[in-house]
Formats: sequence, C-alpha cells, structure tokens
Amino acid sequence: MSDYFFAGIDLGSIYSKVVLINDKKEVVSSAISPSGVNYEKVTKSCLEKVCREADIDKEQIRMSVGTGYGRKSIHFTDKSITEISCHAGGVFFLYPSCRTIIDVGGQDSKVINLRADGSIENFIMNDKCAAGTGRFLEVMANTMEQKLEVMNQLAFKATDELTISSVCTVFAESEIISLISQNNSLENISKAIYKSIASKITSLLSQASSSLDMIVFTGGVARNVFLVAYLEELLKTKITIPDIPQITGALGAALYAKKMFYKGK
Amino acid sequence: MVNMKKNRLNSLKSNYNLNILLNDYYKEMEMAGKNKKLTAAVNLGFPVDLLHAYDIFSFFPQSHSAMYASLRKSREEIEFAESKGIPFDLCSEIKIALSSLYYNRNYIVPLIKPDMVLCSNQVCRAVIKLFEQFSHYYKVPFFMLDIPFVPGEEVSEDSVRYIEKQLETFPDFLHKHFGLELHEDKLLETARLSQEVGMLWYEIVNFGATIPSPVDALDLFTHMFPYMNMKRSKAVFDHYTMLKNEIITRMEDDISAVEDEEIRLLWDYMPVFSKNNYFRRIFQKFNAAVVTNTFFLPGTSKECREGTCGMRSDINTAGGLFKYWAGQFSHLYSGVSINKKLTAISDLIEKYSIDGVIIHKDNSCKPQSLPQQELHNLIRGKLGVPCLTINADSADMRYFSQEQVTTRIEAFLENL
Repeated sequence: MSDYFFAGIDLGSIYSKVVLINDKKEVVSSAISPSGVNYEKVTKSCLEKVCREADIDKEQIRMSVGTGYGRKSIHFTDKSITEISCHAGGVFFLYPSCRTIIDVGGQDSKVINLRADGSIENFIMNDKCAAGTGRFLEVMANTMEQKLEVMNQLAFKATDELTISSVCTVFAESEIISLISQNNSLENISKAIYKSIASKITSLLSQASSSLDMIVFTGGVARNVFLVAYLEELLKTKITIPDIPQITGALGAALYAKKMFYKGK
Repeated sequence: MVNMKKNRLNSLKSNYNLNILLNDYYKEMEMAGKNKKLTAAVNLGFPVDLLHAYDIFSFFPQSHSAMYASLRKSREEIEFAESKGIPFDLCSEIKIALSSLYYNRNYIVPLIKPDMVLCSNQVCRAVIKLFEQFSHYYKVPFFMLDIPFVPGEEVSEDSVRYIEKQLETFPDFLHKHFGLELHEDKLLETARLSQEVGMLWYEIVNFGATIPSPVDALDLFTHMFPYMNMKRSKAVFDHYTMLKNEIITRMEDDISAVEDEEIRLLWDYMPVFSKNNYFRRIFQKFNAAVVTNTFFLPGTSKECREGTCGMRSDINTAGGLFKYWAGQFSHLYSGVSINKKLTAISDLIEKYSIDGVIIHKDNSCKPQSLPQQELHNLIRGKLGVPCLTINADSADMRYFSQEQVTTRIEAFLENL
C-alpha cells in the first residue's frame, strides 16, 4: 500500500466534503457531512472518517488543500484554492474530454469552460442571489413539505406547465404557497421549481458561451434526476454525472495537494 | 522589514498631502459659501477651467459622493435619502448627493448652496434630473451642455460645432444672471495652468507602464480628485509634482507597488472606493498589481492617449479653447462607443503589458454597465486577454458580497 496520501477538503455552504487519494491518484475514501457552524470541527471529523476508512494515520497525509466557500476557515490545510480551480481539476481528471462543467452547490451555481488541456478558459457564477442554487431547492422542498427525492419523482408526473416568475428565493417561496393555495398539483409545482433552476443554468451556459458537446454536471443539485433529464431535453445533449457529484471539488483539491507535494520535493 | 514593504502603499507621503489638499478644498468651499463668492455645482464633461477663469468656485456633487464612499460613510447618506422616498434602485452617487445637498445633511463635510448648476449629459442622463432638482430647490439658474453620443469611430464636425456653439453661449449666461465679463487673458492663463497639471498627471499614470509598476492604480485613482475637481492652483501643481517625484524615487530605489510582481492588471471603470485595501490585499497575495485604469485618461482621442492633449497651437484664443473642449468632451471614455472603448483598452493592454482585465460592473451605473458584457466578450474573444467582471457598486456597500467577489478574483488569478 502506498505510503503517500493527499487530502482535499471542500467546505461548502451546506455540506463539507473530504476526499483522500493515494500516490496513484486513486480515491481511497471520501466523506460528506453537513457543514453546520463549527467548520473546523466538521472538517476534522470528516478527515478522521476518511483516514479510518482508508485505515491510515492522519500523519500519512503528506499534503492537503482546502477549497469551497469556507476554505479560509480551515486552518490545518497547506493551501487554499478556489472551488472553481478545484472542480475543474477534479472533473478533468475524471473526464478528460469534458469541456463544460455545470456545478450547482449550496449557494453558488457556476459554469466552467475547459480547454483541451484542462485549463480554465472561462467561468461564470450566479449573481448575488440564491436563485437557482441548492439552497433555493431546499427552501422550495421545505415549503412543499417534500423530500427532494420525492419532488423529483413528482416532477416526472407533471401534466401542466406552471412558471415561477420571481428570481428571488423569498418571493419564489410565497409564489409556491399561492400556487398550492390555488390547488395546483404538487407534481406541476415540482416541475415548475426545476424549470426555474434549469433556466438559471441555461442562462449561465449562454453567458459563458459554453460548448454543449461534453457537459459534466457536479454538485449536490446534480443528484436531482428530473433536473438533469429536463436540462438534457432543453439543451438537446447528454449530460454526464459523476458517481458522487458532490465530491469533485474535494477531489480536485486532493489532486492539487499531490501536485504541490511533488513540485516542492 | 518585510511588513514595512508590504505596507508601503499606505505610506505614500503624497496620500497624506492629498488629505491636506482635500481639507483645504472643503475649507475653501465653506469660505466661498460665507464670502458670497460665486459657486457652481458641475459634473464631468463641463470645462471647469472656464469657471475658474471667472473665479467661480466649482464642485462636483458626484465626487463628493465618491469621497463619502472612500471614507466608508456612504451607507448613512444612502439610507437617509431612501428614507425620504428616493427610489431604492437609483444611482448611489445621486442618492448621496441628494442627501447632502437637497436634504442638507452635514454628516461629515457639507456641500454648499450653489449659485448655479451646470450640467453635461456626456456621462449620465440621470444626473440631469439631479441637477434640475438642485436648480429647482435653490432657485438658481441651470445651464445644460448637451453632448451628443458618437456612435462608431469618428466624431463629426457638426457634433463638435454643436457643442462649441453651446459653450459660446455660456459667457452670455453668466453675464445675464450674474453680470460677469469674460477676461480672455485670464481664461488662457487658466487653460495653460490646466495643461501643465494635465501633463503632470499624464506622466504620473504613465509610470504604471514600468515593469514592475512603482504605483498601484487603485491608489492613484484617489489622486484624480484634484485634477478633476479643483482649481489649478500652485498647491495642486505642487501636489502632482510631489507625487511624481515620489514615484521616481521609488523607481530609483527599486520599490514596486506589489512585491515580486508577476501579474499586471487593468481595471475598467471606477474602483469600489471603500474596498481599496481589500482589493490590494487580495491582489498582493497573487503578486498581482493593478497598473492602470480606463478612467485615468480623460479622453479616448489619439492625442489624449499620446499625452499631447492640450498641446495644440490653435488654443491661444477663447474661441480656439471652446472648439478644443468641444472636441475633447466628444471623446470622454465614459461616453464613447464600444469600438472606441475597445481600441482604448487594446492600447492600454499593449502599453502597460497587461495580463488580465478586471471589469467593475457598477450596480449604480446602468448606462456604463450595459456595454460591459459586450466589452468583456470582445476583450476575451478579439484581444485574447483574460477578463473578469465583478458585480459591485462604487459607493453602496450593500451591493458588495465580499465572499463571492473573493472567489471570483482568486479563481481568475489562480488561472492566469
């Protein structure tokens, strides 16, 4: 077994993700945990978990990189790198033919265009607003008193086209409430919620003039099967989802850690 | 020692002198109000030299707003204006100016009642309504300079003549309302001093082209205030001489604005005034220096970009000056077409060896923001230079999301 391990820690606004890789760039273990308010504690416990799973000592981690919204709150990493660079690194490693990344996390949605060598050609992020992010979806699901998995299944059964017109999460929530009170079916409302996120994503793709040839969708929101299917229909292209779409940023961070380690050696 | 090096931007002696100059300027403004010296509220795109030739004290309400933003005192003013029913999505500079001048808020430094309001529509159309409101409130005459927008590359002679004709009526306006006479010799002397100050400023901003740059363009931006606003007095001339000499000394001592400069940036549009230190820190972390700004040179005309602006031989008469100003105002960066802006940016990229462009999309300024997305695309596509647009506001910090801006800038610099 390799003696050298590298950790990537992605402290997102809702979830923290840790990926441990070995010298051969293989993912040895990973962990996902709600970020909560004590970032240091949650990232440390995630790190302990991945070490336990990989059956290694923490000391065997030669280098670690922090990323994500809370990257500066993690003090034990060797460096912090933005989630944009890390997602690009992680996704390109998994899918070298990828030219466009859609990443929708807790409070950010972004589109990253990659060059053939994996470097970033351009990136666009959502404006200062939670519309079209994981948080938006969470708020809407709560308003509907539905689990996200159920909301996806409901959306597939929609029979009517409804539209949520507000771009503001708070106003959109009141729009949902009024749609419910008008006796619209939960199926139709669920679809409308996903449509609203999809339109935000397609707008980012258009702003970034992204290629639609090989799109990889990452972040927790990529697990919403209806959204992915709807986007595929809208963009008339196949969208690739990694096995665990939430951890590509942490994977990229771990790959950066490995690169830094050998550069410094 | 290392720390000293890192903080040396803050220790620019000329920054201290700028504060003294600004204090004196506001004292002079206060005195002008008390001594019944004629005062005028003006905006960019109006020849202040003409006012100074008449001994009229001029002030820019919008620059006053920028100063409030620099002092991080803009929020109180903005919220005060909003509490009076001023629309929430109006420009923050206008809100601050309304708060100070219309509602007489004397929060830090007061503005004084103008005896006249002189408005040019070159930069912004909303400002016409602001000035009209001042004119209405104070019952003072309103002079409007209409500068036509110039689509495409060339300014037509008719357009210049139209502006010139309006300027020629200004002495009559002053005569009619205040009984003033124009003294041509004084006007020419004022214009000559103004050119000298302009040349000094041109030399100063040019130092940014040196690799590594001895001066930070965000820092330099605040030094535009005297050049834009103040009468070209000896104190102003001395200030720029001091700033120039200080930069020369830095160059002789091999001191650069950013230690181990690796990345050179161009900043488009105004800075986020109250966040200059934040930006400087974040850039410094990546050994990046902002070396120039699209607003440093008042004009996009060839002569302005080459520093020969105002060096023409035909401006030794009042008529020649009017014509010259008319031409210059047609070329102000904020008012020209996308193609002309792109040419100006392309020149700056070459001259200042720029690695990346940062566009500040100002929430307050819709007209200036509108073409910025197209400019962004052209800078990337046509000029092949990486470009980042950040959404903020020059004066209203409620529109500044620091975490989001940090991630964007860091990601941009990581990948340059």
